[in-house]
Amino acid sequence: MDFHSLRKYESYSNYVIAFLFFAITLGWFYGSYDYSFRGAAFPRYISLIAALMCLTILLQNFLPSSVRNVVIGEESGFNLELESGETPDSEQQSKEGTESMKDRLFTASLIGGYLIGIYILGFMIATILYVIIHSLHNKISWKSTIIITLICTISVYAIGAVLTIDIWSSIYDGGIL
Amino acid sequence: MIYDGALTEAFFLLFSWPIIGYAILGILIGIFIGAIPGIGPSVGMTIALPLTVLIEPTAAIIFLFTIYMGGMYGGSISAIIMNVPGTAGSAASTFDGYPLSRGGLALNALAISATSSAIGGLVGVILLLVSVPVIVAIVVAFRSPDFFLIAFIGLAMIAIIARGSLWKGLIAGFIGILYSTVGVAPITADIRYTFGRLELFDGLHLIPAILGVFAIAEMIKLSGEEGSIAKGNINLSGSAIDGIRSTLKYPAILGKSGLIGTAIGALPGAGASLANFVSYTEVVRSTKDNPKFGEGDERGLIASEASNNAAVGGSLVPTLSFGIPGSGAAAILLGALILHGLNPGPTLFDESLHITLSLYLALGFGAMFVIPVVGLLVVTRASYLTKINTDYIIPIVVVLSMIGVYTIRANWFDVITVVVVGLLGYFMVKHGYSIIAFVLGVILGPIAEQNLFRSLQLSDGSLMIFIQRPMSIALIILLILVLSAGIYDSVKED
Repeated sequence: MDFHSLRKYESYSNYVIAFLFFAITLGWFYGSYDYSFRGAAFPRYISLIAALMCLTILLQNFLPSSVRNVVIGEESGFNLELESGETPDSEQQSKEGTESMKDRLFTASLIGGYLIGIYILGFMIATILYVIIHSLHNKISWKSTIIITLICTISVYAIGAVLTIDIWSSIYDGGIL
Repeated sequence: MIYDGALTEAFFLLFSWPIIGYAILGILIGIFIGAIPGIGPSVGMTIALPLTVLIEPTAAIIFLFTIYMGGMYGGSISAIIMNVPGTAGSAASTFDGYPLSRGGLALNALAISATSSAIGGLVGVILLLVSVPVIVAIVVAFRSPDFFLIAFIGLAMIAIIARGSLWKGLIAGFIGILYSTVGVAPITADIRYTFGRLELFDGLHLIPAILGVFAIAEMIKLSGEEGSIAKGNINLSGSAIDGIRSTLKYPAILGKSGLIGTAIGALPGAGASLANFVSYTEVVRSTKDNPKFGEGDERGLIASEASNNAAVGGSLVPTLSFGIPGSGAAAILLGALILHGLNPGPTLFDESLHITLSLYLALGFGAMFVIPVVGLLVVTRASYLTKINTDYIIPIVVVLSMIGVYTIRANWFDVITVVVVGLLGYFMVKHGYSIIAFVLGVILGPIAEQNLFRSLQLSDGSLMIFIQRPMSIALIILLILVLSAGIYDSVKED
């Protein structure tokens, strides 16, 4: 992925999050009509205001520049701070940006996988698998992997024992639910 | 006398066992976590938060607070040795701390940091203790309409000061408020947004939201960052004793920086990250005597370190009195107060004043004894802390967050929520939506809703109640001013 594709992705994800918030607030607004007026008034008006604000972000290209500046503020993003039209200093910068994005996506996916793992395999087994996969991906030495795995599993076991939480149940024996 | 023995009660409370043990442990954990670049006290407090359900409320609050305090000092270790601030509050410490370290005076710089942090923290405590009667007078004058308005003022201030746009900050705050509306409505008992799931009747809990944005989102972000680990051997040369002597030569800078730190820390949304820059800028501006700022001037490091620790105490003022945190770590502290049934506001300055004062005393105790002693003991071993690879920390934080959130009420939805909010939080930070505003929305949502309805009940549904009292009118004007300032700033940038 080159630098400009990366920027395109950044811009795309910016719209996706604004759209997601718009959908959530709109859903909250419509949902509020299922409840009594007194019970629904607060979320109804807050969601309406928030939905309108999200809409302005989605329609930012159609706004006058001064209003647009109020709406989108300064560009954020973690490491892609070049102005539009500017080219990256080197191929190295583009490569680093892509790699850091890949690492973050991997970590996010692995955390999602860990959640599913807890549901299917139970806390203890899922924790061991999660730590091992994380260590393999980050090329952590096997000695360190063992230490991290021990810290995590002992913590899970101790917390489970003290608070009498079932850390072993998997989907096969009724699951955590 | 406003204290009425509460100060004595707070003293005995803090120095009783096991509370004093938790205070010392909290500072040690804080220093350790703060010294690891990219982790910071917020993550430490977040993963410890669900585990505090096992201990009694006062001990839990003091434990979390001392992690915050220790973390603020610990952040300076990596700033001085590696030029990588462990926390945002230590960023200005790199300007002169790192050049001192490179010039062969690393031990001097670390001792200056410990001594300045201690004295800065102490200045903060003295100012807090002196200001209690004033805070009490203000807080007790607040009524339901005022608490409703102050919730939105806090949200607006944080949206402005936090990184990103005012607009996006407010959206994040509103999303947080909507998150808090799941479950039974506070006044009418309507069951809202549960999709028929029994697990959601009690609502979405505050802790998964905090863990999601401060632990999971931070770990995702951290996994893509490189270069935060010290490479090779670090040589700690210099003299710690000389560092202490150097610090004590500048009482005026220590006092002024402590004052700046406390005042800025008390501003909602500002916190130590702003305090250390303002204090550093002030010392640069006011120093005429042979300044070498940026090249290893001790005065720059003293100003930065004294102010960031003083800001910890300052952040307690809006957090405890109005429920508006001064920083991310203060937001977690606020979450802990609510988790343990201690609601911010008049109660904490009336029947629970001893708890509030015990927090102040913990700050003073940490500043006077623990930070100097531990700090000076740690300095000779500090290089080891900065060599901990963050790749090792990520799975530990993630696992503790997942099991930790499940301990709150053994609800599988909390585990799902922490992951969903974590992923959302990552993209929020990436695109300039303030996560502190989001958490504040989650915390303030129920407070705002309850006070809105209470106000409307008192006035038989008339909105005039919001403009009937001078305090409410002043707050409305303040809200308008805050929003106008944010909009003006954005337009001016254009």
